Amino acid sequence: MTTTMTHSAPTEGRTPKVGIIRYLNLFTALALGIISAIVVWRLALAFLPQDAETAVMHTREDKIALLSMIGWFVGFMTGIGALIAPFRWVMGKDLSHEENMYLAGKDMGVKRYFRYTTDHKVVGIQYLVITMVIFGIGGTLAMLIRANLGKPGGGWIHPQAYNSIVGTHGILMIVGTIIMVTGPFGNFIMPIMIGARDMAFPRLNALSFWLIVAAAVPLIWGQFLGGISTGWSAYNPLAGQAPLGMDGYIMFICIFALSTMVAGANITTTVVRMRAKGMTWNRTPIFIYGVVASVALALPAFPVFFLSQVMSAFDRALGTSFYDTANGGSGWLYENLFWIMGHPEVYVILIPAVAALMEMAPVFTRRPLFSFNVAVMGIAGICGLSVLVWAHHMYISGWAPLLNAPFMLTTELISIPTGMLFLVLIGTLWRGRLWVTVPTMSIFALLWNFMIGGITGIYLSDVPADAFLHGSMYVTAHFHYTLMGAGLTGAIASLVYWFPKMTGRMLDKTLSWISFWFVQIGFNVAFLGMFFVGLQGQPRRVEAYAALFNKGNLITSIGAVVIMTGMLILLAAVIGSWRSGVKAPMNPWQAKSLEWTVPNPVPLENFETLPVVTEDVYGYGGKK
Amino acid sequence: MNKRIFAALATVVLGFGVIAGIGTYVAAAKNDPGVVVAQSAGSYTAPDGTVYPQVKLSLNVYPNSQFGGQHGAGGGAHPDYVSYSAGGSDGEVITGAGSGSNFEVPAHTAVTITVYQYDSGESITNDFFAHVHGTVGGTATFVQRWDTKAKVNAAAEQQITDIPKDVVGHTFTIHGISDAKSQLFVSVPLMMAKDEEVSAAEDAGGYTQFPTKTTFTFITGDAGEYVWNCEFPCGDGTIARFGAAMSTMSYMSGHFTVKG
Amino acid sequence: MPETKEAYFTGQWWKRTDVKRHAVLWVVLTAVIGYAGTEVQVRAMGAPASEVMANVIHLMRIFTWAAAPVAGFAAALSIGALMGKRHHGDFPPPDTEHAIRNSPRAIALWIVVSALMCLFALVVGLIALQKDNTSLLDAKATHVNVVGQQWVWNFDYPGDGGVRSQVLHLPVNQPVVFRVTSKDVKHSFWIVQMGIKIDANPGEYTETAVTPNKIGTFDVRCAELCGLLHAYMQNKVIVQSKEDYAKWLASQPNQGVSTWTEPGAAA
Repeated sequence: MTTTMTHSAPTEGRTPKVGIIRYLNLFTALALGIISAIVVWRLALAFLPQDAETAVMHTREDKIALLSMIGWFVGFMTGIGALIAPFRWVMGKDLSHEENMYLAGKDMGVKRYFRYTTDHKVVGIQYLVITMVIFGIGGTLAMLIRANLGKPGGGWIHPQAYNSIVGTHGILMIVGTIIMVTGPFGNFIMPIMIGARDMAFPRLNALSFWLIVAAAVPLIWGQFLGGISTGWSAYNPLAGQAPLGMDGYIMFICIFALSTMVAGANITTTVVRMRAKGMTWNRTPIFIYGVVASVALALPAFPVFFLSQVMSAFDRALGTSFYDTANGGSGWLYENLFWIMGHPEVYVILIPAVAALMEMAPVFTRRPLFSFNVAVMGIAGICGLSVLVWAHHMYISGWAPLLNAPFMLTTELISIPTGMLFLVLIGTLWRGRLWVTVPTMSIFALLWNFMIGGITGIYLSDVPADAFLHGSMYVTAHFHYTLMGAGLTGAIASLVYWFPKMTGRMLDKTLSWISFWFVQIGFNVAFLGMFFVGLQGQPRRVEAYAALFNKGNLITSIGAVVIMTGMLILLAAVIGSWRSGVKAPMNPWQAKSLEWTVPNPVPLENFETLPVVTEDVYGYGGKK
Repeated sequence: MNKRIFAALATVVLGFGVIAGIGTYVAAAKNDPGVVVAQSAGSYTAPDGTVYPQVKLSLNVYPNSQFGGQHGAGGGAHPDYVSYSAGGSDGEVITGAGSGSNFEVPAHTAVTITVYQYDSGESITNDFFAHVHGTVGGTATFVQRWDTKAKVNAAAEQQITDIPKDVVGHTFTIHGISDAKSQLFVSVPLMMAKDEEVSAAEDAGGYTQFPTKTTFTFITGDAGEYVWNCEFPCGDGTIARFGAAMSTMSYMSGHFTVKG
Repeated sequence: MPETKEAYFTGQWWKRTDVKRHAVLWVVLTAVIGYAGTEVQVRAMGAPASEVMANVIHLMRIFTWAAAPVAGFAAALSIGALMGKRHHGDFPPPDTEHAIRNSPRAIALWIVVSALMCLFALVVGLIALQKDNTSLLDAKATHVNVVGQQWVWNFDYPGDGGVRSQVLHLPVNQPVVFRVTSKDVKHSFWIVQMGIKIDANPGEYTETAVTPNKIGTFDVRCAELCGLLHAYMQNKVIVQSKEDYAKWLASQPNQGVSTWTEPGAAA
């Protein structure tokens, strides 16, 4: 990596010598993916033997579904060009400089967003768009759920469709919230913030994005094959009897797990090895810590999720009995594997959002971050403890009642490092000069929402209370408060904050304010109502309910309508401002981190000369 | 600024329009939207002397959806799935209109259901469901062989409280949400028809001439939304055999509305 | 260099106006949050039908009041910050005059208090857990087997003459141990008003116990998504006096005995 940017000869007007790479884009990927899927499908139909007459399980259909989806995956990834570089490497060569610059999207215009582009800024924008698409679909499904439950007694949508909607909403939102901060901002902003030209593995960066696109198709395809009949947690043995849509879910997770692991390796290596000269760990912004902690936590967790789904696929397609008690397996095996991923995963979602707000807090209070060291300790503590708490999701599963007390201990201990993050935010608000913007108010919203989410988590961590609350709508309200009330708030604040750097324009102020209030007020109305019906005794994931839950559900559905309005207004703001918003100055927030020292639009290699860092980014305040 | 706010409003309206459209489509996509309303049949005197208005329903249970029921010619999307459908009062096979798997009965009424069971069966997994529950007197009237051509019993009629657990074909079980009002629960086992006869009839492109016939009466309470389904799992998998047909409404499960 | 000397708790810090303002906010908000949080939640849960449920309600009260000062503190500092001078507009206000990065005393206090609260929650939880487990070991307990099956629960009362039912009957003030299993997928057996819940796992037996202490009608609701008709997997629980319960048991047919006879020829 050169300290000073090299200016290669301009290539405009001259066809770059890049071979097949020139022709590969989203459309060739889609075409090749669809063709491969169809070819494998026909081959499987023709050559797979029929299920034996006496077979207990009909596995042939699942084999065909899974094989076709794998065919889609291989075709798509080949068509987008993911295999070009590995193929060259196997042949003993590598891409030429011209090919690398071409892949980075040099002089390419809008087309670079539809290709296997390695420029981290392009990948960041691609992640932003796909996050919005995922939230759009997940949000629509949420509105269908609330429309159904808003009717007194529920029961308006067919139970089969409803269960599939609930499960699909869940998994889409989980994936959306995992990528919502690390994807757009971890990719676009993070390398600039550490003073690097790009990430450690630019091709892996493109890979991590396109894997998500490849993954989404089997999930959606599965909706037309019968959908999923489980929640997003896909518990076996229920998943074993689910329709073919379950195979779509399995493929989605397996491919997404690959994406997460690739992104994790890339981000961690970049931050560890490519920080600018002089950026010691003490001078590294807290947002960077948040992003690294999140992906580092995902690295051990997602392979376990992957494994759990592979075994589920084996049970469905090969008739194995990993999760079948009657034949030596156990449903508890699935629960353990799932929650070993499932618990760290919620911190994967939460930490970048909170770290982003900790990054913004000094900017909008014009004073130093309160106790950087405590912030780092808090993040590290949460990461370390989060791998030790998973069985609090299984207190009443009957798996290991004797382990309930130890897991109660570890779960309650996690409140200590979590509290440290609160201390940092509150400490930064204390004696600050409040500059009222949407990111600023998002800090207050986070504190309010996360307080409620955190305290309700304490109730749930208590075994006797959990015996009442588990599996009720109280749990649903709790995790929406933490993941959506805290997580999504941080993500939206990140969008408002970094929008000027990513698009060169300011996000419309009026619309973002209106959106903020609609979303926050609607959110609290919706989910406070949900706590209430949970306490009254409404179970989770039910398509119809007893009359005493009517009022609470109506309130929640009204809140949901308000949230949806706010999110649609935000969408309008993003699209409108991106196209014709006020042009943003280089550093609209007068912040001190490195991304604000590069012009808009950010040049291909970020910095003319790589910066040398002499102090941290929280040097606000004091006598100057 | 005004243009921006106008665009925002348009986005909101459009967004809700899209969602409403998808919602309408999803809600309409019931596997079987039809509702079979029970026929009025005079009045019924319960053993304790109370007189109730009476309604009747007649159902058939077919071993596949190809030759009977509401799934269309050739059995629709799942021709090999077992199908419960409204049928004629003597067990006649009905296809298309008039058949259906969602039922509606009035509240505070005696409901008499006759089920003609055309499928074979085996040993039930939970013999709770080999017993009759929730009917008047806890019994049902049973005929082991009903002749659909001659329209007469081909075996003696008996009062049963249970059937042997190794010859169960299916069950008809009504249950629902626990609410403040009275909660209906009815479960009646439906014995299998003779295995050889069922297979032979299927090979010949139809259903056996000799289904079993089970008749039972229960009294509904207040209005409410219930569901019915078969409680004898015969679907896909090992222990989780409630897959496939058993988890697809309008085959072996449906809505049961008590209308107030 | 980040400042490390104590910068907040200097001089007579408790007499400063901003500290006093925040202290008042703290007290008021703690009271409001504690009261509202407790009363609304307790009202939603309704009247308990067992000691176990009464403990749950009690726990929710204690934890809410214990958490109220923490929530109140965060709320007080937030509202206090919002009540101060706020700057609007497109440009930031000037930086603060101080550049305080640390307060060892505040950090130490915060960590010690969180650790103590954690310990408190743990101890209270362990005590409650211990109390709930005693019914399980009661030798005089009634036993009921609970079988979950998609999508219906059924109960049998072993040793009581082959009685099986789908409405759960229980005698009041008598401990009952439930032995729960599933015939197919995972379900969760939840008697809502008695505050007990245990999953029903295929091929395994799990146990939970409770002593109902109120006569009345309560609800069993399945609490684990178990497929298509999960929402309709619910039963009634009828808790009766010991005499009424005995009468009910006696009136039930023995379902272990079959009354089936082969039919004769058609009449």
